[in-house]
Amino acid sequence: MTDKIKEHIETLLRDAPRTRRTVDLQEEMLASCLDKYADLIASGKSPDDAYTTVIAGIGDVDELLGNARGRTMDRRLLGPMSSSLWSLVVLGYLCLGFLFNLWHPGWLIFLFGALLQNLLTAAFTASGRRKGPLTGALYISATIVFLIFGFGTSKWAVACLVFMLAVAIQQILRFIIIWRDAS
Amino acid sequence: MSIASDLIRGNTDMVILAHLSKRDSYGYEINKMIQETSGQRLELKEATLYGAFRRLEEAGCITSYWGDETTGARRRYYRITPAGRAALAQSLRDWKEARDIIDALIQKDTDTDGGENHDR
Repeated sequence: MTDKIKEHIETLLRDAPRTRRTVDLQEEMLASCLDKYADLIASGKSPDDAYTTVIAGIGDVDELLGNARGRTMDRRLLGPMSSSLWSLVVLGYLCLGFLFNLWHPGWLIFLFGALLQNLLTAAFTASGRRKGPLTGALYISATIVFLIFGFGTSKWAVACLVFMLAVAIQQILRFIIIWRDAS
Repeated sequence: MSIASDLIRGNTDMVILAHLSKRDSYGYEINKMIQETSGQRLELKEATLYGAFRRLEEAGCITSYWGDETTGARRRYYRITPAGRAALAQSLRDWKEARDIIDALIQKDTDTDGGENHDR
């Protein structure tokens, strides 16, 4: 049953970034829950009852994780800001097209929109969960560089190298994050 | 009961500091003390308790260190700092003042009510 308690605590903290703080919190909670469980058993409770009481006593850890994750901007702002972003992107595209007849390279503005959207999402996401949007931003940047370089020089084979560079950057960033969390 | 526990929850930090001012302690022991001293009427959720510890630690009111338990998980002990003692003294003054004011206000209202009832 103590393994079940351990598993439950691990599940609760599964989504939290693996920082020193989370690891400490997990050990502290486990010690506390095991103490409580032992006390309940000693007072004559059945293992099942004791387990249920211990789990119910943990409460809402999200509030605590919110604290451990660090504060982020109010997520409710993300929706309106994304809508504004895309309205401006469409407006920008139409302006480039009608005013300057730049329909062709002008469509690249949508890629910039996607890049900004990813960065915006990352800004509204708790640190530790930003991997998705930031990886997205990196590869969209790579695509933008690839297309601009390709259209500009017509050397598409050389332009391809930017994707290898993106992979390299991603691996380096991963390494830095792991190293930072470990220290 | 729910209003009472809300009132108490608002003073969790003071309760924890008061306990730590006697001796170093860890989460479960503090919660057990709260449960026993309150005659089983109050028990904090783990999350509430750890939230308070983090807050107090960030404010410099307490420090923590790990116990040397060899079986199972290690306990995390908390120790009150001089700043924590000062904060506790201040909270106690505030609490007593608030209690006196509320007592006085309630007393006055009860007396008035009593008087009106008596007239009828």
